[in-house]
Amino acid sequence: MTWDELLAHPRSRDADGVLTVLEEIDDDTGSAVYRRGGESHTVRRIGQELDVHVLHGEVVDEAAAKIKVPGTFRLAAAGVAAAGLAWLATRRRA
Amino acid sequence: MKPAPFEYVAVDSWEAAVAALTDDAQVLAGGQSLVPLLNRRLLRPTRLVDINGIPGLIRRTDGVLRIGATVRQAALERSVVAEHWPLLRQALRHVGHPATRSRGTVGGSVAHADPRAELVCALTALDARYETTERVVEGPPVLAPRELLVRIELPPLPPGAHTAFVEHARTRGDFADAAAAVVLAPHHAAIAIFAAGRAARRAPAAERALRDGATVAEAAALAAELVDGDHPRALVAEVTRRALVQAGHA
Repeated sequence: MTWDELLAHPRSRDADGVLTVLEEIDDDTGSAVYRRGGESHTVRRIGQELDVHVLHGEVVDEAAAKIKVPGTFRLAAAGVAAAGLAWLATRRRA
Repeated sequence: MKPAPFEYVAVDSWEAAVAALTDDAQVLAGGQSLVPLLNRRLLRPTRLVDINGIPGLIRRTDGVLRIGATVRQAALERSVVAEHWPLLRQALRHVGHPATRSRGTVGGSVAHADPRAELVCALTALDARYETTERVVEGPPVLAPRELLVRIELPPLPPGAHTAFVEHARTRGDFADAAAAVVLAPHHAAIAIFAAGRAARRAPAAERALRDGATVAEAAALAAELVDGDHPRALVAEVTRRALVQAGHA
């Protein structure tokens, strides 16, 4: 899902019928907040390409992966990305 | 009691909502005010237009906050973006209860036009502009038939602003007898009050006095002059005094 798609579909349901509702957009900081399963999640836009891989947490895009970061952060980012891919997989089954 | 029979129409756009409105239709948003009136049969619309399918968004662009009319009060209360306007959360804490705020909408509070609405008082102090399906107005709009409130727009707060909202209600969560919303910043003062069944309004004399260096007591007394009756006047003076103190006025 891209940033634009996220904004274009403020309400959607996944395969399990869980409702995702976009609640806030902050154009000044490039972030958005959506509500899913009774919890709020923040999505941040990174760079010009707004490729959103992960909705449950901070957005990680390909451009950001090329940036040299400490190993701990890479490990954390990989974990978050895996969770996001799993979530996307459930959406594609819909 | 249960409502009298009505036709139910659900829409997902403002254009469809306007098209669905008839002369004796009512608009259903959060339903926290409308449904009790329907159940008691104080209102008997022939058609109910449900606008819950219209997405409501809180959005900040170039420092200006835009709040969709269908945004839930609870969503605005927990909003990260709206933290830059703390008066909203300070006022929303007094609006009903968490259960009603989870369904009640921001636009519903404005459109229902109850003179004791805390949120409208806060919006008045924040210089809110209101966009309807037909126009843009500076103060809370009196909606014409087949006119709907679409969004509310708030300018950025002045640098260094402090805000406070104080009300007096006989029961927590009930409508207040009097309330004051205050925004204080260097060279800026905004006070909005309501009491005695009269809708929220600004207190320009008190605001001017504050900018000229008036004390809390002097400004509160000027704000209280806007209402009639000894008791409402005393209430307004006290809630205004407390709000000014909470906002950091010496």
